[in-house]
Amino acid sequence: MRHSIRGFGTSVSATLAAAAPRHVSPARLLLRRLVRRKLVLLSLLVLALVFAAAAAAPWVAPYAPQRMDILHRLAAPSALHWFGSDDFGRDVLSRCLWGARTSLTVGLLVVVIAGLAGTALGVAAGYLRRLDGVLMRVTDAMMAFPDILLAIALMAALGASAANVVIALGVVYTPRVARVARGGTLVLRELQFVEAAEALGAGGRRIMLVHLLPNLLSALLVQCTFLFAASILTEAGLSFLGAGVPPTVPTWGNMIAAAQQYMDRAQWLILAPGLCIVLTVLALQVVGDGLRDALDPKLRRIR
Amino acid sequence: MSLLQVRELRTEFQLEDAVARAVDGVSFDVARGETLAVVGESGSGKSVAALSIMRLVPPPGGTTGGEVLLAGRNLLSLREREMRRVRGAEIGMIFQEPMSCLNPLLTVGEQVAETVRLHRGLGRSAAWRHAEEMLARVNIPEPRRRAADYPHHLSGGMRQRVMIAIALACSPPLLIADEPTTALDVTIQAQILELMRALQSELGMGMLFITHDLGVVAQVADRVAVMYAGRVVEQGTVGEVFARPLHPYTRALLRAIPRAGERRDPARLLPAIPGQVPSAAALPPGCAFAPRCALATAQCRAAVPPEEAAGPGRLVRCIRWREA
Repeated sequence: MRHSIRGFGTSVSATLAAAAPRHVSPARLLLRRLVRRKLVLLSLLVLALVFAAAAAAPWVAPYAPQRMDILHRLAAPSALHWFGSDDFGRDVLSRCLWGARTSLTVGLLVVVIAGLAGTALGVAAGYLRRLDGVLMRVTDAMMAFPDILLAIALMAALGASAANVVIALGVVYTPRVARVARGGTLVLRELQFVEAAEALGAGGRRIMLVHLLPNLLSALLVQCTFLFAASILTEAGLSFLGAGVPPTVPTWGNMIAAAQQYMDRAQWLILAPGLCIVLTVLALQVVGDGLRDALDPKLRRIR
Repeated sequence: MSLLQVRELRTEFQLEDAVARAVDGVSFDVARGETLAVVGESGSGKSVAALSIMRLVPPPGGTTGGEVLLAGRNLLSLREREMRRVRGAEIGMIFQEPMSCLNPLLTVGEQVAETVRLHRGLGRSAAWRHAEEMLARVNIPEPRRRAADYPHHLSGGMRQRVMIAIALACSPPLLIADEPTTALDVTIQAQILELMRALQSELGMGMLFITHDLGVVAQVADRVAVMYAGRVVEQGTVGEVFARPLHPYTRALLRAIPRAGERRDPARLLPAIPGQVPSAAALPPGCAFAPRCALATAQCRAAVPPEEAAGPGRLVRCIRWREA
């Protein structure tokens, strides 16, 4: 069959609606199918909690993130400082909450930038054969570098700031999205509805926007979830290496970087931000997997 | 003057180490209100010929010669922008696979409306009304409700009706149908053919009907062109060609049709044509059918036989047709 590559050629609403009565919206069906798996449900709850905490940080954080309390340096977790305090006596819980804001914002912006740029480049490369060779050789070249190495090089050129981290990671991850978008476009382009649209006089822009892009969205959605996780990790890695967000701004990576000197005395300094990273990234990966299964027509019958 | 005149059309595919001549000097006409069937086996170039008329041959293929005159205008010399206005508006096209011909994410109403909006600049609601009318015209029951359906809600036959509605939405003077009934079962096939015939006489359009099914040819076509290895080997009215085939290939094809009710010795197999179709990248220098032809002579293998007139509107590409 021509729809041999999973997930392409069928689509979110088509695969979902095919199995369901008409009046249920595709989004609700997708959600229903997602939460059927307990681990996915749990991960969604974790993500909701992390996002809520990040959004509400200014109101729920017990202290200001930069407030120093020299008398209580490196304090162990207690009722006063739930996750302890760091070498300047700053509250670790408050800094984790504020750090979530930075990490999630950076991650989201990277997803938006790489998602948009990668999709545009990938669809263009897949549909316009003349562009394909050039664009794909450039992405190959970029993907030949390890993520973090390329990001460090870009940061060295751009200078340390949160905005530059977003730009650097956006550049690093654009080829990944482009690859997926191009692959999907190549599959879709051979399907007859694209040929039929051409035979009806539709131009290239129309084919790409109306016929190709919507049919790619489910695959791109899954990819973007994984990308979100990857950019949170790489951002933390950059901050840890001192090549990311300036150390004055609380981020999970910065906190771990600062904490490593006190590893023998104050393990909680590493534990709290480390757990934040692990839980968030893990939850995103599980949700990504769940999304892929929920959107895949071939796996639909597995309950 | 005929509606569509194809003259010496040549379409080649540039392969790594060879050139495949998929369409090699094909000429035919389609008049208004007439159906020309193009028959041939897979790889005979019939679909590529249709795509060449639409100028939609995918790379590495390209049309390298000839003329495609639609109402006197050569489509091959139009700019791409002008050609886009021809597609859908002046030539409608239907494809083989009704399952994959429709965008799974758009309602069928939107897909019919898309064509008229594109070519006639109708507004959203006017185009939608037109779409409902078109769905009614192709005999889809409850067209208003069906217009809001997605393709996966419909059966194969219904989808092919939708495809016809899309292709005819702008009332094009010419319809190209590329094996429109091959993927359908026989009862649905008969219904679709009946519908196409009815719409054709209603709209007075010319139809280029591509198929490999001689039974379908007998049902829908006025004239037939038999293609073999990128060339038209015989052309004429359906009655003449079926009653008195002149080319050995046509004769072999007609012999290979099983007939219902015919008493057949079970030990005797249905006659088949020995050998294989030559590759378009390695055509023999002479008649492409010569390696499989019982009548072939040295002269057949030396040079491609010219197209000879064997009566009014009757063409054959065989030097020994008089012996038939």
